[in-house]
Amino acid sequence: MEIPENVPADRVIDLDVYNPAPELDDPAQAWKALHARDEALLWTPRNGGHWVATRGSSIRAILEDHESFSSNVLMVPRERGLSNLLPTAADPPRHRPFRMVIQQAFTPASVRSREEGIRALSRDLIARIAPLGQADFMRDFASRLPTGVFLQIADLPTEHFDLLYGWMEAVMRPDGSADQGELMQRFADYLLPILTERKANPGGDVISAIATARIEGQPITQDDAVNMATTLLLGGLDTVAALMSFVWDHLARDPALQRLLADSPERIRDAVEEFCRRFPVGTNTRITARDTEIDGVTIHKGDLVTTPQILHALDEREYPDPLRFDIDRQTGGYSSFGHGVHRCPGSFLGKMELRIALEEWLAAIPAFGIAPGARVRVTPGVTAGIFSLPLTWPAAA
Amino acid sequence: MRTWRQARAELVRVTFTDQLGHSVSIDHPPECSLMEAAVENEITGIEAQCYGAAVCGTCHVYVGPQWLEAAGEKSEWEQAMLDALPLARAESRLSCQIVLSDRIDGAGFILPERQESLE
Repeated sequence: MEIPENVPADRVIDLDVYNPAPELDDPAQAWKALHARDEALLWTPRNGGHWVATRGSSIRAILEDHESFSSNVLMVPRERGLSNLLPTAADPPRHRPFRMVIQQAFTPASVRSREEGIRALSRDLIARIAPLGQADFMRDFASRLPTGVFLQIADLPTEHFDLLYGWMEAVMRPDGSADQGELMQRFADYLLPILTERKANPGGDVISAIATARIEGQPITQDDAVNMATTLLLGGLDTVAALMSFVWDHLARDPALQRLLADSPERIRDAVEEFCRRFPVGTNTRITARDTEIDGVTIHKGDLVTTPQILHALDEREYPDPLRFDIDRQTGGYSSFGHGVHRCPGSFLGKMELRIALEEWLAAIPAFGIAPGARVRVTPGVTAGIFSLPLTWPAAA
Repeated sequence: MRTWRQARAELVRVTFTDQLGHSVSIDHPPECSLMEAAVENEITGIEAQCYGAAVCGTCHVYVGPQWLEAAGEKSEWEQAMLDALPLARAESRLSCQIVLSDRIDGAGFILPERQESLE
């Protein structure tokens, strides 16, 4: 493809941000290799051609500056931009009223009130697999916990579990064969009758809050309500599952860390922070709203920019020896939940889910490993995760 | 690996005081936001509804005058948010926009009478 005139030739690399190293089981080294260059902003012709922020400094600067970098396109290439998602794809000032509706379900006070429910769900899932001595972590736990939590928050019947679980599988399918448009339609077909019912008989759940929302004084439109509820499904299921898959993969290979956390559960909070730093799962996209200079180059209005969160996590200018998990590290400031007005509203919930899952898992299964002979591969994508993670442990006698 | 005790020595101490004069001091690992440290320690009066996006205004604090500079610069966006908060004063900040670091070790923050969420 033709390289735009504002892209210096020495900034051009060949990188598919959704599949940076097809030949590797774990692309972390390939991401890290981008830091051999000093620049913080590169350009790739893949996925329609776009800039890639490669350092913590440029990633943070772009995500914090919603005036220069609009969220109207959330994926590359721009035809797949998910531009209808709310509040995610809306810029200020349109963004705020939608965000205020959704975040009521995720305030720290509201999330704390769910702690026992999440713990009960975790225990139930673990109790089913613990006696078996083996499980596929993604299939049997990581995908099920956030789905169950979503059902609780949305006050949906547990019978819907398999449906949502199937969609999550489609979203995370390793070959990327899920058709985006078809998936969005399925979400809409599922959500619309529920929204309609909740509008007539609202409860205290997040779907009711969306269904009955008033935006700028007017009742929310049906389309906007569907788009908000879809965003919740997309944002809260595969991201938590993906994060947990990286965490358990890491733990399975680090018996000393397993022992530390099993013996000193009070350190799990520190571990959660460092896991969130080390294993971000997403890549954000922005569309440039006005010509903007970053890192010595001018990004033109209309140019797309991606911010792979892992490039912040692995930036040695931010974190010494960044590939290493270090529970004692000063680990804050990472981009794993984004920055600025679109910062993930579910981060408090997601971190709580991870903490509770670790506490309950290590209490029941304090020592475990990767199943012998298993090939563990990171599934790349918009959300990267470990789609299949076979684990084994000594089964109870 | 450092021991837990050594790691704790690097904690940052900050104090929150409510309008009745009740103070709570917390010790928290640095680099997260002041808001996150407050929420982790269950400081009553920091609601943080949006949990760090600076769009709700419910993690509002008054910064002790001698700590204003150490608390760092306000962005235009944060200032616009504060301008819309009825209880905001010149020394107001959104605690989600203050980085917990040794620069504010020992700092005191006053909690407003109530948190008011922007619509």
